[in-house]
Amino acid sequence: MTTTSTATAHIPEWLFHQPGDDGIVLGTLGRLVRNLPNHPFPGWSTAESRKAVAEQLLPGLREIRGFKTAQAIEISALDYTQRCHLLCCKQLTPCMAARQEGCHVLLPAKKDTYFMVNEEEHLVAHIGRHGFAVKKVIQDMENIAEKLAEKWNFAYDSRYGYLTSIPTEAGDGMQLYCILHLPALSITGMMGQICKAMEKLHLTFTPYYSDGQDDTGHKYILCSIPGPEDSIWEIAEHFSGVANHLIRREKQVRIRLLQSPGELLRDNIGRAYGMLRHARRLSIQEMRNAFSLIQMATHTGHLEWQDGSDAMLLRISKTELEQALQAGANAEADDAGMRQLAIRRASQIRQFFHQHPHRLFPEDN
Amino acid sequence: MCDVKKCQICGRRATMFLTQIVNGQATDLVLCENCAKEKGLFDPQTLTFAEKFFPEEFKARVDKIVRELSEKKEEESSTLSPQSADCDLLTQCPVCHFTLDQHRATGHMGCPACYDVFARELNPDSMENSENSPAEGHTASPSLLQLKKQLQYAVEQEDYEEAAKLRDLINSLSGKQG
Ligand SMILES: [Zn+2]
Ligand SMILES: [Zn+2]
Repeated sequence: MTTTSTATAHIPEWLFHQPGDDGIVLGTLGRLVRNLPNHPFPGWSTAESRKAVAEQLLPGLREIRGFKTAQAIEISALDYTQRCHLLCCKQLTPCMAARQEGCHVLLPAKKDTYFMVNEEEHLVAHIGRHGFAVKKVIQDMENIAEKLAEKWNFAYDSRYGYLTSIPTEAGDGMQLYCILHLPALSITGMMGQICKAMEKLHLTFTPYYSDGQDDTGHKYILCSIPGPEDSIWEIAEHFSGVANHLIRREKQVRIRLLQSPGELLRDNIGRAYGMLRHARRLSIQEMRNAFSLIQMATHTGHLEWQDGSDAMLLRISKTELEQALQAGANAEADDAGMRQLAIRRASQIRQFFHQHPHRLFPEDN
Repeated sequence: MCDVKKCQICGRRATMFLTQIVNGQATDLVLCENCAKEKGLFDPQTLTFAEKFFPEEFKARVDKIVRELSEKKEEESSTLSPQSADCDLLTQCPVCHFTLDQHRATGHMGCPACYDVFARELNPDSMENSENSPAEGHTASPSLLQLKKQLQYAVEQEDYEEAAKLRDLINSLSGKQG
C-alpha cells in the first residue's frame, strides 16, 4: 500500500458526511468484540497464536457480504506513516497501531464497517454512521453479531456474557461512541467542567484527535463503558440522554454568544476566517481550531458558500484530514521541515478559500 | 479505543498501553498520562507506537517501571491476600499461563479459560453464598441503570455533591475499584 494516496482513498464517508441539521454530532460508531475460545487474547499471545486466530477468522469474514473484495492489511507490513494515516481516518485503533505480526485490518470498499483481527480482542468490528444514529448502529451491530455467530462459537459464559480480555467489559461485547463538534462550549472554556461531569456520568469523554493536544478542533468522542450488568439498549438510553444534553448545551451557548453584546461568536468566527484567509504560516492546531469555527459558521449561516453549504462542509472536513495526514507523514521532521510544512499548509488553505466563492457575515448587508 | 482501562499506578483512566517483553514474558504496561509523565514517559504518540519505534534507552526505562510495578504488586499480594495462602486455587491458567499476579496487576485476563481459573478473583462471594438468596426485610436495591439515571439527573441539576456519591456507589456496585 502506498502512503497518502491509499490512505486518502480510505477516507470513511460516514465520518465526513455532514448531517443536515446542526452538525453537532459528526458520526456514531459501534464497536463489537468477540473472542475465540482456547486462544490467548491478543495482548497476551505469541505471533504463532495470533496467526492461528487470523487463519480461523479471515476466510470466514471474507464470506460476509461486502467483504469478499475487502482490502486485508497486515499491520506489521505498515510503516509509521501508514499507521498514522489509518489512525487519522479512524480505521485503526491506537492499540492496534502498535501491534505486530498476525494482526489484520479488513477494509471493504464501502468503508462504514471494517474488521480488525487481533486488536485488543480476537475480532473487533467497527461500524460507523453519520450523524446521531445510536439505534441504527446498534441494529447494525446486532446484524453483524448474528452473522458472526453463524460461523464461529465464540467464548461465552452464562455468568459474564461474551468473554473479553478485560473482565469488566465482558457482556454483550458492544460499545457506543459518538463524535461531537462543540465549538461554542470550547471557546467559552466550559470543556473542563464538562469532562468532569462526564466522568461522573460513567462515560468516557476524550478529545477526538489523539495526538497529545488538548482539544484542537473542538471535537470530542463520547464513549459508553460496557459491562455485564446492562444490555446495550439500556446503555444506549443513558448514552443518548447524555449526548442530547451536550447537544442542547452547545446550542444554548451558541445562541447566548450570538446574543451577547460583545459579539463573541461573530468575533471568533471573524478571527478564524481572517487567519485562514491571510496567514502565511499555520500549525495543524491553528488550522483545526479555525476550521472548527468555519464549520460552525457554515452551519449557522454566518458564512455563505456559492457551492452550497453541504458540499463545502464535506470539503472542509476532507481538507482538514488531508492536512492531518501530511502532518502525520512529517511527524519526525526537524524545525525547518515543520516550518516549511506550516508555510505550505497556509498557502493551500488560502488557495482553498480563493477557489470557493463565499461571503462572510451576509447578515451585515 | 481501549480507553476504559485503569492506570496501574493510580487507578485513574489509562491513556497509554504498552506490551513489553520482560524476562521473556509479555507484560502489559497501562498508565494514565500523569503517571506516565511522572515516570518520564511523556509523549503519548511515542508510547503508542513504542513497540515498533523504541530507542534502547526508552526500553530500559520502561523495563524498570514494569519491574517496579510488579515488585509493588508482589508486596501487596503477599501482605494482604489471605486467600492465596489457605486455598488450593490455581495461580496460573493452564491454557495460556497467565498468572494470578498478572491478573491482579493489569486487571486483564490471558484467555477465555482464565475466567474459570480466576473465578474467585472476579466474584469473591460466589463460592460462599452462591445461591441467590432473597434479601430479608430489604426492598431490592436500585439497579445500576437506575443509579446512572439518578446520576445523570444530578449532573443536569449541577448537584455535584450528590453526583459524586452516586458515582462512588455505581463504581462500587460495578466492582470497578481496583
Ligand atoms: Zn496514573
Ligand atoms: Zn488463560
